[in-house]
Amino acid sequence: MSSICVNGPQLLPGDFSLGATIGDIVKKTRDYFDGNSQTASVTSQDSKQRDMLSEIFEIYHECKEDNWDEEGAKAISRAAFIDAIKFIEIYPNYLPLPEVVPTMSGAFDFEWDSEEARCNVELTGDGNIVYAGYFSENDRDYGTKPFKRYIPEALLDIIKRVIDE
Amino acid sequence: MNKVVASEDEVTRFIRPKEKRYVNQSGKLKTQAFSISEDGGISVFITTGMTEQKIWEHGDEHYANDKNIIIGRGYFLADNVYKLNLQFDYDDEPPRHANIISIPVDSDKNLSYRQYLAKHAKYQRRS
Repeated sequence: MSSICVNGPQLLPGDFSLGATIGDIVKKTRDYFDGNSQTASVTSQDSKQRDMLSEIFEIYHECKEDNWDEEGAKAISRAAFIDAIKFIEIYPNYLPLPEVVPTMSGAFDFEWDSEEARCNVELTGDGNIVYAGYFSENDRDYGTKPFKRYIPEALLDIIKRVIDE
Repeated sequence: MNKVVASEDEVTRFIRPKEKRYVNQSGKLKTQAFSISEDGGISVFITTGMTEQKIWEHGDEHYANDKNIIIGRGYFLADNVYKLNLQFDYDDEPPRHANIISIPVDSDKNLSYRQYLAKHAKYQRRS
């Protein structure tokens, strides 16, 4: 069993803490899952970002087996977990963080919501980032882009619009 | 022959624990509250004309189970489904049950449609 320690008390049973900086997390997470490292350690300077990473870890550990909801939900893959961590790593720190939930299809869903608008991002670990934005009855946008080292500009525009609404 | 859902009918999507997975910090339904079931549709109940108490009782009998109780519901007018050019398969099995069908399979469009439904639904926590 593993636990996650993120700059504070133990969050899950076991013994696993991540990276010296947020930027180390992806590499150390991969090392851990590849068996190249038994431990890592993380201390995020940003408490909100730390909380988000904790949430992602908690979700992954809860949802990494099929039927995690006892209603037929698909497991969240390691690749989806890595992508979710990477997304937060490269997410602009001047923008408010989203809420994150698991999906029945085995993805991470990030959601930004305002009075009138909403943005959702889904990461399944298949190498793509899927997104949708709602602004009004006749103003909706959606797309799928490869997810590599940056957040697509079209998606950032949607996120910023939702935050500004 | 399946029954017809009128545009003015009230449609209910029951919410199970954990609430924070389906309801955001502002008390509105998250998009993931409208997840697609294995058959490709969104399972709902037509609750037109039912009292609040009857709605909970109906959900307890026909939707909840020992491990997944009902903690709330999202509800909206059927017209929101028709605005998206989607359909209802009102099989009435169990009673008042229907599936929202014809949802696009493309993942981004699918996400957009579910997002629209969530944005047009209200959340009622069970008292």
